[in-house]
Amino acid sequence: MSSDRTLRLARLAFLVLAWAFVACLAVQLFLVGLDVFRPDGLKAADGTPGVHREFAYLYGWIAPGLVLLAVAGRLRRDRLLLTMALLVLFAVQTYLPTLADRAPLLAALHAVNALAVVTVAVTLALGARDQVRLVPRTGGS
Amino acid sequence: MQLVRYLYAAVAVGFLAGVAYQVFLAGMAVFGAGQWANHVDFGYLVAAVPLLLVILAWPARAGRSTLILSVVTLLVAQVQTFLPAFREDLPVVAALHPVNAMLVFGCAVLVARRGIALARQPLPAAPTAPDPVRA
Repeated sequence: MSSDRTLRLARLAFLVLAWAFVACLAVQLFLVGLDVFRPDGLKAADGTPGVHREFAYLYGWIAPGLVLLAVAGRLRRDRLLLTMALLVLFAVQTYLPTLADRAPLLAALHAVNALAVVTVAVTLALGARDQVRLVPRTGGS
Repeated sequence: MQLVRYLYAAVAVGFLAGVAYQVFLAGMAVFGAGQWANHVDFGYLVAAVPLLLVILAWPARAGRSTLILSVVTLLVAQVQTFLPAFREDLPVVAALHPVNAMLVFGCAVLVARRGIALARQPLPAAPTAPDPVRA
């Protein structure tokens, strides 16, 4: 397989995964809404967490996957750094709620950090198409 | 009239900051650091701000697309205030509140960027009457 083809495949996979991540974030936000507006609130009386928490662990692997694809696809330096920033922001996002008991004000940044996660994810997804176009198509031989 | 453009930019950036603060207030309520009433009260206040953008867009000569963007921002911000009212009868619709919040935030980012670009751009010169001395 030619180098250009490998690059193109990695960048295509990055494009697909980046949009999949954005779609998951949209679903995640909807699940947050279901959790917030359910009668027993974010945490049920029996202590079980809301569905949005479980869902986050389901698609969370996409963020490190994007970093690997960004490296494999040799994305522009700023894109690579932004992808790494997404991974860091997502890790912070999963950590913040654990501070709820000790530092609720810091835990409250969970919602604000979500804005940053969505902004970076959408920026990456929007720019991913151009990164695919930059690699010339190779023949099918 | 350049002042109106600065005002548009200031209101747009202020709205973006207000949306971010509103999200923080929601986080505070969720994690027990604040009351939901703060989020609700501030929400009604911040949702009215895009009306100023719509009003200012015309004297600022912001252009058709910016005016439409301001109107869309006002609409999504107003929809945001209605969604929680469906929590009893249609909780699935009420659950769109955080999803729509991201739309509000996205519109706020776009409007702030437009506002800043507009403030940096000098107002086009108004057509002047012919010079009576030269005529």
